[in-house]
Amino acid sequence: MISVIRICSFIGLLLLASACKAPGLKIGNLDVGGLVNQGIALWDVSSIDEAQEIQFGQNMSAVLLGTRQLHPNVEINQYVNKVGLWLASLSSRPNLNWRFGVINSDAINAFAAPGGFVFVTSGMLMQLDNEAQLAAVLAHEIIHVTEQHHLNAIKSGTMRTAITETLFISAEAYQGNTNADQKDREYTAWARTVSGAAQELYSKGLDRDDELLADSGGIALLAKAGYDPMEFYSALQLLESIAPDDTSLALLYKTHPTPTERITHLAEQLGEFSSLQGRMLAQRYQRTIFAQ
Amino acid sequence: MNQKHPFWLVLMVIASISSLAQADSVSTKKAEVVKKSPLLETPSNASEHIKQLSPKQSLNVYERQRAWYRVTTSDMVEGWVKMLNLRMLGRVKREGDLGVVTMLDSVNPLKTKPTTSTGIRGFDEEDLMKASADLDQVALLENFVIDNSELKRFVMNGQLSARPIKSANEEQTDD
Repeated sequence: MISVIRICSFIGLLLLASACKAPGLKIGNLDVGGLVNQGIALWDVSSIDEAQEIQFGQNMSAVLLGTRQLHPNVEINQYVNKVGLWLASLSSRPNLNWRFGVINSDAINAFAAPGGFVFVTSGMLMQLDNEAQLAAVLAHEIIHVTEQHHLNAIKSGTMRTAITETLFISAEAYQGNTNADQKDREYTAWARTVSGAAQELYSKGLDRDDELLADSGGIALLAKAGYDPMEFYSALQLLESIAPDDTSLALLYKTHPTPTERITHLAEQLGEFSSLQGRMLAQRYQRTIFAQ
Repeated sequence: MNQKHPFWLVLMVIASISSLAQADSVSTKKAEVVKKSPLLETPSNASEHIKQLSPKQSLNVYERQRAWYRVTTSDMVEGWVKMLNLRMLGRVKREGDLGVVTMLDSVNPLKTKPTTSTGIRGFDEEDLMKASADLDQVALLENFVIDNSELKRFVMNGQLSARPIKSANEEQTDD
């Protein structure tokens, strides 16, 4: 019954968005009709453009960085940006506004958000042995962005709550209004709904096929950038060798196929890449990450 | 007493350089065989077979050459085995904080790392559920952006170069 109401609300929202008049429609706790009547921009997920994708990614990133902040070491963040920007420049969307950051957390994980946002935890950086392994982690996340896996998850209906309660409410809801009280109110509504969507996306994880596709695309991007593609397998073997019940791996294991499954899937591509030479850059990585 | 410091400093620098020189090879690691595999004399399918390895058999892994690992068995027979026929075992997770772990420790993954009192900064589902958006942190990302000339220098210093690779989801970039 609730889903029927949501779908009706969804259709109604589209009509309201075009009519710019809304007689008090609510979705969840959110007064969508009220927002529309205040002239707040609503987004249509089926026709989201790049600017909206970036803004949504900013909002998603804000939730990740609200969970744990960026690591304070600027040089390490810049180093991760350099590796990431090199890879991104060779991706299928080189002109996105790519931004990379190190999340200050002992957890071993990495995240992507729509529009070009990629994060790796300091706990992950601690475990890796060389720059090629870092590039492997970033390449996997870059493919999630270029293939719009998060947006597709929302569009597919598996994240219907996220559609109805978040994506249609742009950040303009709080940015574009000069009335302080109203701005605060709208910000609260926006923050709550965006948090819900991000929580849902990042705690449930993407579709298994998307994860495996990010691996196969990621290893190709790694090789394309001149790194040793075998280090993609090494990075997965490294994760595989850490005790699976280690709490720092809990969210990674909940949201991704196991490293063993990922290695088995990638084994099909071994012949394609095993003859390619490439750089590992262990010294540069260890100088930057461990010896500052 | 102070005169001894430069000597120890030189020794430490030499030790660090020596460790770094080996950093591109795989440090000794423990592994087990995941499926019946031949131990070969050289890293090639055409190589002579030394012996057959059994599933669950323990090995020491010394280096990787393309998709092959150089290993020794418990009875000290040395040879090469396919990389994906092994599963790495018992890696000791590095503890501490970025920029704190010493360089000598960082090149030996089997050695227990010093733990610093940085506190636990997890990132699990519960942390996510309690999170509230922090747009100020997102704005901080702009501080880490580098310009094109710096990126080119970084790529050149790493002797990285782009090469054409075809794959299912990246092939449109090879136009």
